[in-house]
Amino acid sequence: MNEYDMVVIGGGPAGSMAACTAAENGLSVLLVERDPIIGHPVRCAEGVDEKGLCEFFTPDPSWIASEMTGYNLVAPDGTVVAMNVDGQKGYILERIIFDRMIAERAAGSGAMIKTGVEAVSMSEYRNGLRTVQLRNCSKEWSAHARVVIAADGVESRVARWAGLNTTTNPHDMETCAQVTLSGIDIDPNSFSLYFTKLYAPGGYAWVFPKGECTANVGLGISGDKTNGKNPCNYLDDFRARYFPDASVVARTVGGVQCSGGAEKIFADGLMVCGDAAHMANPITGGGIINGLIAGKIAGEIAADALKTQHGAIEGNLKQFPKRCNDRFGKMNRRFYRIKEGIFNIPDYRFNEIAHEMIKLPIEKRTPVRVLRSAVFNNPELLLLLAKVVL
Amino acid sequence: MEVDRRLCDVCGTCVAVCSSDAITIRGNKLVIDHELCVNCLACVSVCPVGALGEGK
Repeated sequence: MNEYDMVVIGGGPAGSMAACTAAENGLSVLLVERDPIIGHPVRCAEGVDEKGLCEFFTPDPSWIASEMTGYNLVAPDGTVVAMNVDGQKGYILERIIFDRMIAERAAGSGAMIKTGVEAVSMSEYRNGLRTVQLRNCSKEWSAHARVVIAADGVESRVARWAGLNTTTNPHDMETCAQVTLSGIDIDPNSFSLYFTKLYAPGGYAWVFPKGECTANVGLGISGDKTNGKNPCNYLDDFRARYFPDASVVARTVGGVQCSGGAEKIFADGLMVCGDAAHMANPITGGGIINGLIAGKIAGEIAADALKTQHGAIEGNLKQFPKRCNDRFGKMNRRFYRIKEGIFNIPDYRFNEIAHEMIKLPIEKRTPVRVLRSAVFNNPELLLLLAKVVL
Repeated sequence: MEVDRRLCDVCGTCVAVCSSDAITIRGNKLVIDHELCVNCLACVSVCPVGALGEGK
């Protein structure tokens, strides 16, 4: 009774992808989501790159808000540098529909999805099972699982129940505020990134278009660089400077762990996926694709372990961090080391770099070129990059 | 440590930085366990809306 091969906690992309993959491979799966609606509230800037997305899904107009064919870097003094994208594309998603699409796919493959159900505690791993205590309003019950997927996002409590340390120090927590603005004059096919200590110390501000006159406009700041102001205050200042007359149609706040990866992401009968395992890219804060990759890997490992080697799941879970590492973990740890260098560049240097870049033809305006410019006259950054390469 | 529920968006950022597991979300509300809280102020520094404070 109430016994499943897999219990997934969290109905974001990572959780749903794990549930979907496991169910497709014949496992019995229960996915619980605390919020009453899958995909809501959206705590995300919703940007993904085409290559990452297309590994999993064929882009569908029902969950794609807009297609990105270009991007700009904006210097602290307002200089806009249109960058060379080298044929790459990106998308801004409608997460509320995108997330539900993945959950529906999981349900279609046989997974049981329950919304408005919160996991409140989890037992130790005993006799090949973990027991998860679930709650809906005042009703409590337990579900038993041969493997639990912790995909509970930024809070990452499930992993801590299993003794894993998934807390973040404030320095590595990008604390973010975002508004969806409407009635603004923007290029609907280019996104912009603003690097400036004035509005986003230890982070950056973004404008991700979601149509002709609507965009996700937000910023993230490092949790230890708040200087007595919170991200909402910074965002108010940013809006006053760049979009003083826009209407606000949505507002959201949240955090992204930019630590480059949690120390340990599995335990007996448990794998941790997505933001819960700090899998977001520590420079961009983007985590959707890495969450999908990890979810799929977790689903495959669980299916493989439970199907082919009845019960011998413990040894198989060791593959999980290794496979995640190969796909994005090693890169994320490298990115973490250059993050510090990039976010420490003073505003006047960013202005100088932008002025150098706009003199170049657009073909030559690549991220590598920006970095090369940044390293010039900044030996500290050079040292950091050398450490990353060597 | 106190939370101003009028400002709190229940985003979970403070839960993720709390090293003493003193903050939980119960029934879409933030709950602070004062027995566990060590007043490190990590949550205050990351709260995106400024809903947390000492004796707020």
